Amino acid sequence: MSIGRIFDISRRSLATYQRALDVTSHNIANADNTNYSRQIVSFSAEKPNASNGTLLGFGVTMDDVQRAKNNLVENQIRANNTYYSTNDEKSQLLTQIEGLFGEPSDTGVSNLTTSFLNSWQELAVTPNSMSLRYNVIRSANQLSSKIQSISQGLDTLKTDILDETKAKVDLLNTTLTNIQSLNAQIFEQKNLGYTPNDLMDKRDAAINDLSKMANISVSYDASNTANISVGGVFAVDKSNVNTFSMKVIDGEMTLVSGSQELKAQLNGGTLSSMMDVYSNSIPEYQTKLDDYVNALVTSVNNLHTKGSTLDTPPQTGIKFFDDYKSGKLQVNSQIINNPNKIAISADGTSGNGTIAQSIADLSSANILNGTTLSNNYSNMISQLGTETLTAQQNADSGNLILQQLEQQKASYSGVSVDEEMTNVIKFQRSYDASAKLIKVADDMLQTLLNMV
Amino acid sequence: MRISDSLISSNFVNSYNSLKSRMESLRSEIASGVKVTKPSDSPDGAAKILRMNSNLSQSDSYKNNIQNSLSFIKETNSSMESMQSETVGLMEQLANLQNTTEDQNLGSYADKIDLALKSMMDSANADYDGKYLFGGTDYSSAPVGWSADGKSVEIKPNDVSGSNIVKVSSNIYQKINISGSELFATTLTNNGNLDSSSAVGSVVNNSSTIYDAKGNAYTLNQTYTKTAANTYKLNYDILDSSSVSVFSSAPAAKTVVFDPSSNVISSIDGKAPSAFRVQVPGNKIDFQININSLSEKNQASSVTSSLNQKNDIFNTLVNIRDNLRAGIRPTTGQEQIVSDFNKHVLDKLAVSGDTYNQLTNTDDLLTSQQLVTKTLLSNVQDVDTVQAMMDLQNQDNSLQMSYKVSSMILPKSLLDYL
Repeated sequence: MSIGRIFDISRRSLATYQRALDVTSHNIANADNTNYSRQIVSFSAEKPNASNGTLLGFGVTMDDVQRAKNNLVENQIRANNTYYSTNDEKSQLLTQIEGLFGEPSDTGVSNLTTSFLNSWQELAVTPNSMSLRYNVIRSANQLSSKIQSISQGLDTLKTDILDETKAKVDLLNTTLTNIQSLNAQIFEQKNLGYTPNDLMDKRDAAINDLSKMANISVSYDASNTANISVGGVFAVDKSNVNTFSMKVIDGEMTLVSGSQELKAQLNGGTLSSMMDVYSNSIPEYQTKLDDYVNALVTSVNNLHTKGSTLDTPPQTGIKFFDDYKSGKLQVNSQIINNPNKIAISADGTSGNGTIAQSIADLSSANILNGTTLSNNYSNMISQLGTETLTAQQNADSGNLILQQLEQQKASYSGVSVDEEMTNVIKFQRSYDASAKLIKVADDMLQTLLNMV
Repeated sequence: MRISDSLISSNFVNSYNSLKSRMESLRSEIASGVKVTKPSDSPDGAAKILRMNSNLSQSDSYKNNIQNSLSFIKETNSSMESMQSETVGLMEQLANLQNTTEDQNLGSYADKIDLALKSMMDSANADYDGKYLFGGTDYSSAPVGWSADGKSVEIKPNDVSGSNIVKVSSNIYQKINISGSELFATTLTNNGNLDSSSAVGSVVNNSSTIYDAKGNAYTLNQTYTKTAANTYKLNYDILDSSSVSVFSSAPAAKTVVFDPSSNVISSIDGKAPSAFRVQVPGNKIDFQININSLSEKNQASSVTSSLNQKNDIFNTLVNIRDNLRAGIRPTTGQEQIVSDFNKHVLDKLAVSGDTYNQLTNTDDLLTSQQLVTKTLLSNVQDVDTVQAMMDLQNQDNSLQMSYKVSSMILPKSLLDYL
């Protein structure tokens, strides 16, 4: 056994603890990087050497640097990312629809319809009053403006969603390309015998981003390559990446893949919510609003055409509203130009307001889906509120679960500076001791040399 | 549990966001005073608010109708009281005229009656908010006026019988006007029944006496001819004292249909049953026939008729005035018409007063209903400000604590002590 062996053990020990300090400093540097998983150095004793019938140790060696990663938590985070993003995006979009309807308020369709029908009621009492006739036109115009504003708002929202979806699909494709590149790099590093922890962290972060956009399925093969499908359609592995695009067919937005345009079955993520609101929610509320307006317009016009105007001689057969088309509701221009054309007399006399009263009575008539306009509208608003609230509550609960999972992840994978500083001290002391050992060996060698 | 730095900071951020979110929600509630600003705040509450606001708005509209109607009725009552006051004065003058010492003053009485007549015509033509009080539903011209020859008063040729019906609550429609027909017109009313079991083609006749503006008598002959089950054709003719028809051609027959289940008239000439007017300007005949009380029963036909007055008050006064100027005292019949009109106006004042009271009661009821609805609306919509302020204070305390504790922990690590 030679003194050189002490040098050898000490030198190896110095190198090992220096590398350990490298890893620790890397951990400290990434303490605030949320996508970073702390790295743990694993040491072991060097293979012993037999000498004179005795097995003597060869010091310490660094086996590996592993990521502190809990895959179970990671998978749950991805699943909850999808759930939370789906509901959060949906609640935000539905809140925008809520804003368009602006209920409950004085300027909502409900109050404006009531004001419109009430204006007929007041006109029925004094049918020859010009100011009350103007009041009917004014309240009709206010209602028309609001309905037009909602319809235009819904159209604008659809356009905005369309543009945003296109941008999101571009981001999806960029993320997939990024993952494919990371897959290739990780494969290469692995083949060289390295453990590419940081690359895997980057890939995990990209997969997390992907899980917010769509429902994905992730599996890892023997070479640790992430094989991902989006909505059941192959998306990426280490060699291939699919390009997705967004198509609108018959008013329905769809995510398709490649030149064959395979349809992805999206049921989660922000893209899913945007497509759902675009294809289903907005058309549904627009249809309900159209039904509401059509029922009002048809009923008012049916009654109005039976009435006589205040003209001499009285005229009949005049519609109050022009036909309702594409969200545009307008009062008949003849009436706007001459309020005497409001036809509310059932017998042609100037003081008969029977038709006006009948129009006012539409407020309590079951003219849409077997119930009143007011009930239909308030049911629709209630449905919109329930859908939004459900999405908000789902998003809140998803967020709560996500926070807990993130905390678990932070607890397991997050960097504790205290812990790392303790390691620094520990490794530094070991490094010091190793250096001291070299000094001891050196002294020993010097002693021997002095003897010569 | 292992505590990493990111765990501490994310915990703090989550708590901070949660507290801030609750505080923002409370701040918004306190600032706006309402807890439901969008449907998702309370879907059920939002629907209730919409319905209750709609009800309140409708109630406001009904209350407006009531206030307008009350004003209309006040004006109507004022005009009728004015007419009634004139009529009382007329009755005194007519009583005085029975005194032979007044023979030399007949011309003066004629002038007084002329003044009273004009005053009553003014009252009859009074309007409110562009509506003739006694004009029925036709506001295009005054209800009464002088004939072309200026010798008699005509109730205007248009319809003064229309009812001004106002909706004053979700289920109550109230007639608020006293029509010119009701107050001034001469109405012949058919009572009794027609035999539902009679054969098609069977005929029922009825004869009555009616009068022109000058008080001359005429015979009105009515004939009900059964044309089908529950259906009759009503023909009528007016004969003068020489039994000659006043019509150059027979007036169009009316088709009267009875409802077999209720036995009452369901339509006249395809329209809802109402009195129809008969005018013969050449003879100054103007009255209306009301057959609405007629029924159809399985018993022998029996149709009678009654006339509410021989002549209207205006033409009666014209005749009295003209006679006085000719030195002729009013007849007992004429005095009776004036006296009857006085009673008639008093009756209508009672009807109108009753309508006024009903409207006032309905208004009170609506006010009470609105109060209940507003209370319910407030429960659903309004913020309990005191509670919200306390909650906000609690949240703020928690936030301050969170800041304090976090400021102690977050920046510290072993690094600070090395």
